[in-house]
Amino acid sequence: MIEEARAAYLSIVPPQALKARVLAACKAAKKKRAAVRRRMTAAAACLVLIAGLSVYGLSPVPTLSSQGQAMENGVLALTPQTIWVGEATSRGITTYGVQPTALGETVDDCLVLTVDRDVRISVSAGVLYAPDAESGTVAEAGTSCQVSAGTELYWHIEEGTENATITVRAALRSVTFRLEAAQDGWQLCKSS
Amino acid sequence: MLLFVPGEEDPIERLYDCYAAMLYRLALSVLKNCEDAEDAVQSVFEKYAMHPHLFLSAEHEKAWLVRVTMNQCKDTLRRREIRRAVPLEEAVQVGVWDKHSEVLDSLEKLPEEYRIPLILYYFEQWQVGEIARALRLGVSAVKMRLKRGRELLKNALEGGGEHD
Repeated sequence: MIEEARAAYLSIVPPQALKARVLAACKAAKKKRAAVRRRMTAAAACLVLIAGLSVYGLSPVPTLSSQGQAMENGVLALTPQTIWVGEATSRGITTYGVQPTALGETVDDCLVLTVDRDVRISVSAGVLYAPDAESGTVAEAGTSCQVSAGTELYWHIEEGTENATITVRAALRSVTFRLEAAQDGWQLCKSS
Repeated sequence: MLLFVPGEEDPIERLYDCYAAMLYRLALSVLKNCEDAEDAVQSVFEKYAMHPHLFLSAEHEKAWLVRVTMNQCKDTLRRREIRRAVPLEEAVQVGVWDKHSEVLDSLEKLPEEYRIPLILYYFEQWQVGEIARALRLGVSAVKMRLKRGRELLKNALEGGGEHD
């Protein structure tokens, strides 16, 4: 029995696509590490220069500024990820209709979404409404916006719109969902 | 297993080929979600790429990777608990192993502290000492967890079903 269970367990392997994604991510990480080391070396050289110049009474104050390390997801191979939507026990959710936000404002006839991590969301049709981080008011975000984990987001889309998709892009991967009709109203299905 | 391959500039691919499947299965047993398990494995190898280690032995290499994987899984679970609106029990995929095995189904229900040592000992065929080093436990603690885990698994298979 144990041997059978062991065989079943060992037959579980990660998808083939994971290897390419990991190797690409590691290559990017090594480049980032090399860039950090170059900056540190440059910073050390500046400090030595300052120390040397100060011996002679010359003391410039260089600005050692760090540049952001914006790693774009485009360098990584991307595969679908988990997205938690709404409050239903299944993955499909219903149109909430008039839905009061946690911030006290109302957005009518919008599909309500929450995500489980910081993401950038973009839609192919309709309009996104998101709470403003500073003022707290819900405002039109257009077709793309950045949201934090747990934020409620509202997607206003005309009934009957076909082939509407929503793309969720997080730190490691992105996924696109297709909006489809469901028994309880509508659901999001991962695009292939 | 060679730790240093003459002429090998990039050990990542070798490490992946040797260990990724094992790390993925471990992550899946903790996170119960395929995509989170893939993310965890990716994060582990990225961490290695950012801070490469010189391993003293194959056992050291394996232990480091397992430890980092378990820590990564714990971080993921912590983030999940904070953010998730749906209760965890509702969101967990049913039958995460997706294999027809009574033992695996019962194993899935055990608490992690018993499940992981059982998996490493019986399925990945590690020695007790290796498990102790990887999980940062004493040898006695690992032996106790294996013993208790076996009892719980036996109860579960016989239909007792009571776990700590």
